[in-house]
Amino acid sequence: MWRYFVKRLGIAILVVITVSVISFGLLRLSGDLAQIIAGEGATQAQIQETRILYGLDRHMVLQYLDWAGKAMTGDLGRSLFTNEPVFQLIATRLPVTATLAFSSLLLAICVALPLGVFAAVYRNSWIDRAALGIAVFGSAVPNFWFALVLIYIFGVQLRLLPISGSASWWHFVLPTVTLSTMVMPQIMRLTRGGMIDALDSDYVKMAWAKGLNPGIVFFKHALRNALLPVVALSAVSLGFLLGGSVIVESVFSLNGIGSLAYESIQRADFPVVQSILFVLSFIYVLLTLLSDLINARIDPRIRLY
Amino acid sequence: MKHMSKRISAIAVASLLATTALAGPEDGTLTVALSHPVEALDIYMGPGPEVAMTANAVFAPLVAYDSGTQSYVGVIAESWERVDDLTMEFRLRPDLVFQDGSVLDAEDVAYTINFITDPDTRFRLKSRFAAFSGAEVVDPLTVRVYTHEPFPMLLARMVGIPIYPSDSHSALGENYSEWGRAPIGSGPYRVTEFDESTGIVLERWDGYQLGPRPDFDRIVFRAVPDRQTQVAEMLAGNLDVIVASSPDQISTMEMMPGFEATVIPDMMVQYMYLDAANRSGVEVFRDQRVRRAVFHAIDREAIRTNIVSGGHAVPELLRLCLPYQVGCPDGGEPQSYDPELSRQLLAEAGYADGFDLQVSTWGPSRAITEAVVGYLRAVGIRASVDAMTLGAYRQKQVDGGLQALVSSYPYGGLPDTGVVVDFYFGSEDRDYFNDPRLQQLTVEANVSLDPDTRAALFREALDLVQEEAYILPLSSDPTVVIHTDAVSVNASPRGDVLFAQFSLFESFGEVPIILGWAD
Repeated sequence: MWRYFVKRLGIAILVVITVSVISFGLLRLSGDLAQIIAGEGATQAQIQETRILYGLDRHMVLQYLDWAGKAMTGDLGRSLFTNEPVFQLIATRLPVTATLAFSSLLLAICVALPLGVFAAVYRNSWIDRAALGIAVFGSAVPNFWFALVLIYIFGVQLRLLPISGSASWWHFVLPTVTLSTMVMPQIMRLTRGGMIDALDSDYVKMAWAKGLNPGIVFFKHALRNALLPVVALSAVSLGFLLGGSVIVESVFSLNGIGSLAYESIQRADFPVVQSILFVLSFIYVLLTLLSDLINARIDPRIRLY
Repeated sequence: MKHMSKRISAIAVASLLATTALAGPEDGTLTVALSHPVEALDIYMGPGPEVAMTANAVFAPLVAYDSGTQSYVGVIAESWERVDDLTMEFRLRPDLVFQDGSVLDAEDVAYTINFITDPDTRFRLKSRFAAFSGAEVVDPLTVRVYTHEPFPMLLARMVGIPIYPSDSHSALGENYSEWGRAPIGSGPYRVTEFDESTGIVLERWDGYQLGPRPDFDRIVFRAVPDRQTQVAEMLAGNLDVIVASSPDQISTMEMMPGFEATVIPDMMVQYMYLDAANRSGVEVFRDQRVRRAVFHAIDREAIRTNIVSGGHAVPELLRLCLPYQVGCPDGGEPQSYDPELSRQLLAEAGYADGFDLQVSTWGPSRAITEAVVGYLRAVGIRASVDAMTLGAYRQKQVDGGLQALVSSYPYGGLPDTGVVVDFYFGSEDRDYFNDPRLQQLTVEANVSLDPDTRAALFREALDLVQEEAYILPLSSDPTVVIHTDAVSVNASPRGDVLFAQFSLFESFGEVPIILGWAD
């Protein structure tokens, strides 16, 4: 297990470094930071002064090494727009996105798992059809549209729930429902598929033949094996939700990391964009590593690869 | 998305008439939407419209601009006089204090100016203050401000320099960027809560000495970036004021009883220029007839009234400067919409079959650029939109890669025509005309302190721009404020530029409060 862990960790570190190098290079290539900082009204002399003041006159490799070295110590630089430490900006916004992502994933799992299991157990029944309908709806409906519909019904017409902001848990209800539809269909279909495979397998038939309790057959023998890909998908989905909540955050005015990324891209605040990419890729890789380890723990055969 | 959103808005309009419960002055709180969150209430560190809107309620500058009389009025400063070409001396009002009770005197003014001109202080758009060389205390109520060269726009620039208390600001040392989370000013409101997630809460400061007592007990600024969500929040009675960002949003809200849209003239200008200097190698624009042909092909009136938010309510932009900027000459006759004349000029110049053209743009001018490209295609010019990010645009501009540009500029909020000529002709990067006379006029205007001389220079420069068809002023871009009818917005000429450019609120004396509760 340790050997497997070290191998996966090495790959994870390489991925993070690669992402940071590529994103650093791409952002630098997209425009001269000194010109952006100095502004459109600046003269060439003022732009050059800015370049020196911010250390942008150095070679790009040196700039990257400087940034990466500081990033290792938690210093992600300062925002070009507000001059605030980027770490502080991200630390302020990340909890909002994390709350939204975790609650969305939790809601998706709570709905998708039982639905997937029932759809598999009662395959081709009305339950299966209904589950399929929900999956199709979740996949097909754009979340910005679904968000506006929820706002209209629950915020404007019924006035049951707040529309924007993150002042209380109630503010997260509509965004959570919206965002959960992004991952719910995949989890449900994967659970259903896994359960069908498991229920058709020889070891489950053997369990039935032994006269075991249906609960034990479904949950101990079938679901445990069906869950393997679901665990991996959930981990990846969490990373996807953390990085992919830009539109939902924007519609519901949640000041999370997605909206920070969007604002920073709009105003060319490259140190913030660079750091968000770094942090998100780090989280994503960490979650993938975690799912690999959980899978390896559940299924020892994986450790052989 | 746009059509879908519009449909939802229309449904909301139709069905909510009976259920809308508008916010009112009952609790004395005005709730205003910000299109972007404000991370720090510090206009130096984070220049932008949202920060300016909030900061002007909290801070006060030395002077303010009265657009009605095109003159400057004292705020913290009582009077001022020019000592020499490089020095302006300000006399401050006596007995002023900051919101923390500390005395506001010349030391604070000198500290603020020396802070923003310090070579080691890092913030974006610092070149705004490059003309200043520093400030010096003469006595507790007198301060001298120095410039590197004669700087005719000194007072204009002072309008955008809020004064910070030297003691508390300097105590932060290198962590000066933290100031904006708990700032102390001398404006009519003080910050009582600052939270990026929930918003900024301001409370009326009873010690305010620089103007009349504002109407609102509290002002809450909430970041609501999405336009549809802003509308929904207004319909739900959770917002009193939003700044409209599209004609759709305005028309949707104007359909609703209980809401009003007020158009306020702004300093933002939409413009188009062509590469007359041939920096991009496009060649065609060396010929003045082709430049005129391009400009005659564009229906500026249709663009202003249909695409620019609030454009229907502002007059045609006749020159690159705005009538309420100091020194903006009257008159002006930009190329009229005449597609036939455009085709004729193209044929005369040998381009009857048109030519390929990239019209570059970035950010907020995208929709106007698409319209411009449509008009150019109608006269046979094979134009296409070259939309870029800000960074890519600046790089291309510096590299001389722009064949034609449609863009906007707020003139740094400066109510002076000097910024107009300097912006277009004062830097090699931005100069796509290479006209020696224009360059000479700009150099002279930048250092001339005599108002009459400056006015003559501006007139000659802007007439030349028009004659040579270098730049086409497309439209001014006003601010449109949508508000409940419980809120009164006074968009009178006096102070309107300040309203639009810097703040939703007046922060200086003698000028009536612009925003208040309706009677």
